[in-house]
Amino acid sequence: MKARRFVLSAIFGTTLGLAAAASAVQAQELRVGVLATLEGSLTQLGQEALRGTRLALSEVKETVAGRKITLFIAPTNATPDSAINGARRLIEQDKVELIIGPVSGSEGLALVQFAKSNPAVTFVNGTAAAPEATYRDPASNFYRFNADGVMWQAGLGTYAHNDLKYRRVASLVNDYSFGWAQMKGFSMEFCRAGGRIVDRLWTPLGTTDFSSLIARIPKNIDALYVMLVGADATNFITQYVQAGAPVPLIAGTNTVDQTVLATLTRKQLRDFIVGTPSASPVVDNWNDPRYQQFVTAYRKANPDGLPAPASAAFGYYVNTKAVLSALAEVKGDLSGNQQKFRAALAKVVVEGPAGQIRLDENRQGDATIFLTTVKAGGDGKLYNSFVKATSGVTQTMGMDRSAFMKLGVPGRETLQCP
Amino acid sequence: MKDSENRYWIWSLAGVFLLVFPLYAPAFWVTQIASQSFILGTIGLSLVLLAGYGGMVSMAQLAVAGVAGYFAAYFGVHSGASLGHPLPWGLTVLVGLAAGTTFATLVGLTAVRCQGIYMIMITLAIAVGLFYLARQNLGFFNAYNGFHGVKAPVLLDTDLRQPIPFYYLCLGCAVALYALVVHLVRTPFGLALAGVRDDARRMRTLGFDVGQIRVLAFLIAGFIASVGGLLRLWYAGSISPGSINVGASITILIIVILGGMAKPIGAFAGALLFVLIQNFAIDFIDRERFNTMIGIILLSIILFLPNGAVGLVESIAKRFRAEAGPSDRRSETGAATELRR
Repeated sequence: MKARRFVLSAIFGTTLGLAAAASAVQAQELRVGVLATLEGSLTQLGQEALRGTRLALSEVKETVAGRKITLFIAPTNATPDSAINGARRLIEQDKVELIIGPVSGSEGLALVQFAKSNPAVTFVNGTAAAPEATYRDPASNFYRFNADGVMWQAGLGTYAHNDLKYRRVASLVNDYSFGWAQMKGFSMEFCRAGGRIVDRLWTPLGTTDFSSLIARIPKNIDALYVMLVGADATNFITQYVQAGAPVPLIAGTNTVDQTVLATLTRKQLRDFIVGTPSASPVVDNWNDPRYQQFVTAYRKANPDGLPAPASAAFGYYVNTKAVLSALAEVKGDLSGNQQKFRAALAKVVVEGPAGQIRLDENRQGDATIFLTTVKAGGDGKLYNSFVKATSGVTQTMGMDRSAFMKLGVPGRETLQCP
Repeated sequence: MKDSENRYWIWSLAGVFLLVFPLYAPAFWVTQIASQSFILGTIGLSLVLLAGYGGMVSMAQLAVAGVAGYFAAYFGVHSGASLGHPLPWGLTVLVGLAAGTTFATLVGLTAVRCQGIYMIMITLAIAVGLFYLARQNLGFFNAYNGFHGVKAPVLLDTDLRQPIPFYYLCLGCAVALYALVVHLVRTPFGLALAGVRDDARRMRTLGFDVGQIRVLAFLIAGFIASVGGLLRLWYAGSISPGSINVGASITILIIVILGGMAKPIGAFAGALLFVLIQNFAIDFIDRERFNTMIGIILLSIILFLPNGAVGLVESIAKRFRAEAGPSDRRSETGAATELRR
């Protein structure tokens, strides 16, 4: 009886030991964690994000200074705690030294706080675009080379007012950090130009039934500003067209990006969405040679991908590229609490597809932002056509830091002009 | 060797092991595996009390823990949002526990009139309602973002969130609450609760106030879940609607089914099993397949081990005993009673 018990406990002990050994760190490889929304309504964006990171890695053949880079991917679902759980798993179990990500705004805010309590790890953003992540209360080990949600809307409000002559609009926006940021970016220009936003509707991320919201859209407006992400955007556009689509749309960055456009297969939807203006860090037909090279490389690497890279691929691409450049500069040396690496990362100038990116004192990059309109190509595919590029967009949108601060933290109530 | 003597040795060994474990184990095992198991086990324990002894399967136990967590976050030290009223940490803890327990009592008052599947439905509805409220409400729950950078109390210059102090905190709470439940089920109240579970009508005829007993069970279970909720808040350092969504609520039920509802220890066994699977399943399968794996394990446990992992261990132990000597009739009949619900 005792012997049997001993055998049982020996088996149990060995299993635990093996499991522990499997998670031990191997010396040479460089372990990098990636957070991506591979569950929930932002799944498309998460897949696109991974394409961006893999594209940047393939450019250096997954090796920096002789060290092979091994990716560890933690799936999240756009909620803050899924990002924290994923990051914790990456650090404690996969023993990563760097984390790239996350995708979504509120995930980013949570991760910044998490970064503060994990000073040994360097966090480089993916596409999370809540401004405060690098603004009011930044973490010294959190870097963001992509623009934030306010910056992504640069030029859109002015264009809607001055060129499209929209005077009265209403808004329908996903009710979380990124939506609030985009709404602030749009309304700060639109209100300043003299437009009025007569009603502001908010809906949680993951909404599938928009009928009650569509019924609440005011009648006497010129256009509807819509900032819905991922599956929410597809669902809304479908239901809005079915409801007769009384007024045209002005779209937030992710509302008409390729992750959404590629899902609009019915002719009725495509006809409606053509002509919709938006602003974004990516554009599908800019004839700049460096940008074209990026698009071509993306298509070649992802035969099953989107017709053109979306903002998620762009964000993860430039952030990964920044990490790789800084790693190359310090020859893969992460010793000394990564101090040398972080100093290099703070100074690195990323040769992005849309121009150079430099960090400000809060470790936030500047950006080139494109004004676009949706068009249908000869092959029937929808794309975001180039209207205008604004380079050197900073986090304060060219304003003085304290004046910009006075506009308020993005939120449901920020910047109203009813 | 006598059976009671045997049991005494097992308990002492387990006790010593649990006490010295964090001194030798890596931080990952101390915090991620052990502390987390105690936390989830504590919340599971509240469900074992309700479901195992009271016959009331509540899906709202995680919501109760969430209410405690949200109150402790709102009235505690956290970063970022301009929201909240930081109180001295002793008050923060009290407010959290009081809020969770009150909420649990209200859930109990609402739900005790129903039984079986209807009770599951109504408690699930409450849990889902709370989730949507938390996701929409900006003034108290901080909507989609929730609270982050929540600090654990600092006691005698010790940050209780450091791996080893936190482990002992979780261990202490888990053991105390476990002892509470084990003691409680032997008190007249515990026996009355089991009586209500087995035949409510007969108990009513005997003069017991069935509703009162049930609400009291909800209150006590609510207190236990609230302690778990506070620990969970400090463990994660954050709380947001995703922490209390349906998936998370179901996790607690899964834990209790994994471990077995018949005994309080089942909650902790189930939590440990769940945390181990959660952390090590990816060594064998894709991370994306985790839910499939946990689903298959759950199904096999429901099909083949109606008393969960603890039931499995017990039946193995019983076989050993049968080989060694005459079987222990008492515990067998005991298990049979507990099975019959």
